Amino acid sequence: MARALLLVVLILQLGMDVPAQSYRSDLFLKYNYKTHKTNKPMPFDHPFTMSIYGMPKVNVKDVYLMESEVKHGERKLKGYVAQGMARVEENEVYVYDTKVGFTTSGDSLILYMPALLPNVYFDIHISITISEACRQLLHQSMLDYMAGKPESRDKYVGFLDCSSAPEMNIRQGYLSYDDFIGFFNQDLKADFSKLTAAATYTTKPGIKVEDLQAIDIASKNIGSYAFIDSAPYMEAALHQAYDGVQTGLMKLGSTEPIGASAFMERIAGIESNVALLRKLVDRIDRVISSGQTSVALPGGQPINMLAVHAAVEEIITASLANRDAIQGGLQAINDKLDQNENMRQMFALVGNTISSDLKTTGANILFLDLGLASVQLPGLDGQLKSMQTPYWGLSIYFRPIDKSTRRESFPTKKDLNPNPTIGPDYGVVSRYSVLQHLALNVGLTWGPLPNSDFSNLYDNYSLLVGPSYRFARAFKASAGAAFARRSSANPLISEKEVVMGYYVSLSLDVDIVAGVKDFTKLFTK
Amino acid sequence: MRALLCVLCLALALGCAKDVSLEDVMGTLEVSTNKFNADGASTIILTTTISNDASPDRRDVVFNTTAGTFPNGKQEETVKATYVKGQLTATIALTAPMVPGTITLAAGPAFDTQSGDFKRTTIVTADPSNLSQVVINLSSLSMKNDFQSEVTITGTLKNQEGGKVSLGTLISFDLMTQPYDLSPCNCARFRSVKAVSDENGQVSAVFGVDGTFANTTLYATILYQQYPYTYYYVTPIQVQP
Repeated sequence: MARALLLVVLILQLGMDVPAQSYRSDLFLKYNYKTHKTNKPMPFDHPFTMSIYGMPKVNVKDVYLMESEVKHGERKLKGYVAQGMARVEENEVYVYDTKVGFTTSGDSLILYMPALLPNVYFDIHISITISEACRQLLHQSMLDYMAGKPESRDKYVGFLDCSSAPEMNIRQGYLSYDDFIGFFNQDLKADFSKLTAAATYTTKPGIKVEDLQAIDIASKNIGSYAFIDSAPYMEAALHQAYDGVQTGLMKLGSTEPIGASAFMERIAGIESNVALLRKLVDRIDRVISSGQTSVALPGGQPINMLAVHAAVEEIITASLANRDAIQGGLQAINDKLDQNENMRQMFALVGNTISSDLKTTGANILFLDLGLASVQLPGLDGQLKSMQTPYWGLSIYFRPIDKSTRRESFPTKKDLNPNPTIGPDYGVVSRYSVLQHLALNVGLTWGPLPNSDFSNLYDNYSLLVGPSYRFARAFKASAGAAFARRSSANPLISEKEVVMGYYVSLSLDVDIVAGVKDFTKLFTK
Repeated sequence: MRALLCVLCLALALGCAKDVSLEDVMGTLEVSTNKFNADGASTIILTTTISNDASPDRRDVVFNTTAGTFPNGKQEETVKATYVKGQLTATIALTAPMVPGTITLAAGPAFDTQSGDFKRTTIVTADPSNLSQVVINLSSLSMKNDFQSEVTITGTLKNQEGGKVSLGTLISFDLMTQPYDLSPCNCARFRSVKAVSDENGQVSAVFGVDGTFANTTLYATILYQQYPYTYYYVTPIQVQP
């Protein structure tokens, strides 16, 4: 009865600990993008789902796992030096280990992680579309190239730095400057030429100083409507900058010109200009509404306010058309850039990204076994003497083992077909390996040996050492060397000598330590 | 690779039983003499040594013989080896048998093992103990010549040293008219003749005489033939009518 009650409590506890799981996922855990911490240790040998929350809004294209290592106290990607790839300055190649499936949900990026090898550091590299800041650098490089300026190359390097993972200068996908120019000439040049060509944009005659003076006089005539905010318009009129205002190269109210390649700034500038011009239209409307359709300047020159109104409207229309032209051209270029896998921006998650070891998850490399061994020891007559004896022992695995894993679901080396040059090389992915089964068995026999010529190696125990193979999760078969004591071949010597024989054994993994831990947890929680 | 080879060598070293030779265990089996008389009294001393590496509880040596006896009266006795002049030594005396022949002597460790036979053996000869003296006793010094009175003659056969003769020494009885002469009286009748010596070296017979001789001294004689000689041992007896 008590045993059934314990079982029910255990099941309930397990039920509470395990959140909803995704398909092909054994665990679900959360990764805080701001603190770079997970809510629980990452498992090994288990596929799991990880939700990265608190991320900036980005357009994720691919997610890569990259093996990293800690050398001399510094964590860095595991790579090798080669020409022409990845790390720009050092020409060091970091082959990605595997791509990870993902979905996005709100501000969360949900990754479907494969089963990982134990105790492997890895970075999660998230490949996104290029940010606006980096795009501007690229556009400047393209503009300089079009203008035949050698600075184009430096600006492209600036773009690479901008679009690589911050501080690590790592990126997935890479085009050298020459390769990029090839891509530009083939796919982008036409759109870019159109975007930078003067013929693409329409401009209307700008507002004259006299027009603004007339608006000012008319405003004063109305009384309370002094044209005190005329400075931006006047400045542009005095400098004859209304062409720039309409094409976004000049922003009303600002003396700083906008760069031709700063297309997004130009669009913003145009929209700002249009907003100010609409205010001007409002003012002209009030003037006309007050009956002043024609205003005489101090010199007597009449200004037709209806004509001024129409001119400003034309400027607004032309500005919006120019904005649309920039947006359309930019969209065409960006679409082609985004379609190129080598033109991406990276950022990396490098905090607490390690599949955990035994200290954090309790998974062991040591297991306790109980079984039966058949020991063959050389007798005094030179013949092998067979003895059967119970034994208990330790299985020492060559890597951490989690007994709850479904090893048969791991891919085999054949299944993975790695590409060691560009990736994936599956360096961090758990594979079906003999090391998940193979262990070193160190056992001690239990009780006296049945043959009087022999006695145990020490006290009541003889030593068994050999490889063991785990099967069906908890069973182990082992064979190896057995060490015991045997009567001396010299009948005058009563002290027994150590002899080595052989053993085969079958044992059951009892895992007493884990059992005790689970049991005590019931009372200590 | 080197470590693996070391482990393999260690394993082989532990796995192979070391060969132990007889010399590693036992010294030679020495005897005080190779020949002695099969008189049931002579002795020879057997001495053997064992390895000084012997454990204190493994120093017993078992002696065996095919004839004769050890001090315990049996043909096997265990002796604990002790240090003699720095060498573990076991010594025992063998008493000669009464029957001549070759005797195989053996000495080995008392602890038995499957690893081999560690016994030292040697052969000694028990030579016949030949008759050299006879002590004759008569049940009476005179007798009547009518076959009515009988006299028992008993001879105790001895070798040259006065010891026993070997078992089975054959003699014959007769009654002579003259001592030390081949002149039988042809008047005696012997019965219950025991002409072969027993373990005490004794022979005996009962005899009576007819009326051929009266008031005469005749000589009860034990004859012992050892080719090419015949030895006579006589004692007088008075014959009366």
